[in-house]
Amino acid sequence: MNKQEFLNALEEILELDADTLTEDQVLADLESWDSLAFLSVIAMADEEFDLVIQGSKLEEITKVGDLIGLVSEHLSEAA
Amino acid sequence: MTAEVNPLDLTGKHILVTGASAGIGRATCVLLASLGARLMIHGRNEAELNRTLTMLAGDNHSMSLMDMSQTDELAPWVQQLAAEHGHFDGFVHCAGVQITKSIRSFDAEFFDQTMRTNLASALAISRGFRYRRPKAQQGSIVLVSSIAGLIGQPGNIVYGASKAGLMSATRGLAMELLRDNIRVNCVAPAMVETEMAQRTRDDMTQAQFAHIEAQHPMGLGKPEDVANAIAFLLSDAAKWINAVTLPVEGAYLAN
Repeated sequence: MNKQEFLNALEEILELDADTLTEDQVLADLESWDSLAFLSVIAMADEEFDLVIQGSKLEEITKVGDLIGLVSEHLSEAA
Repeated sequence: MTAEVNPLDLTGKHILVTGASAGIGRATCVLLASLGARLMIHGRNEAELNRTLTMLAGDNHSMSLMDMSQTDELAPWVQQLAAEHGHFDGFVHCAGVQITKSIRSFDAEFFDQTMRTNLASALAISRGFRYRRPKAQQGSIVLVSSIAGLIGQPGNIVYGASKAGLMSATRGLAMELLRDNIRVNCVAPAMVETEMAQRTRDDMTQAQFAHIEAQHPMGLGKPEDVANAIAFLLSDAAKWINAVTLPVEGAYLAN
């Protein structure tokens, strides 16, 4: 999974149209961003990257870019 | 003179009813349409579903065929229906199968088929129902469980487990869908005079069925008895009722 694919997966979780999410997007401004959405991101990271994200990280996250930062080591280069 | 108020009025509400080709589902559709709802009725049997359609007041209803055991196809199916016909205000899940089978004949296929059709379908459709639904208007889901999920009956173990699952799912869904402004409730009928009950009757001796009948202090229920409870839970009259299972059973459980 590359960065764009990760963004598309986030868009699906956040129930947004494809290719609308940017790294600068403030998550709190999105109506669909809540603790359940973060739970879905945790589940996705576990499923896709075998990566355990601690729920406590939620407090450190403000932007989409912060979410990318959590999984950046596991993202492949864009094709 | 005061204006007439009908607390069960469903005018303008768009409601999806599964299992509408017979029994409780059909009776529910007839009642909801008479209360002003616009319906999307679901079933497996096209001819019987068409028959239900002809019984409905109003002419703005639609129908859709779907196999409830195809779990992963159900959320996209509901989303597609909402995109084509407008978002849903209500969802009534009457679809279900009941096969009388002893634990001696238990196998994975029987378990999966019953659980998928009765329980997983409710969850998958709820997923599609809530998707991008406008939150300003309160939504209402009513799942049709059974007292089989509250008691123990020989030969009805898997069905009972699937219906108990619906009661538990009602509570979980209700809590998770609070943020979506969707209430989730459940009705648990005792034996109702439906085609499904007739099949159960056919599987038993006369004495066995007489025993079941005798356990119903007020006799067997009519599909309309359950439809009334469903209409109430769907309506704004129940707007502060959430996460409950309402037994509709003519005092069966008190007996």
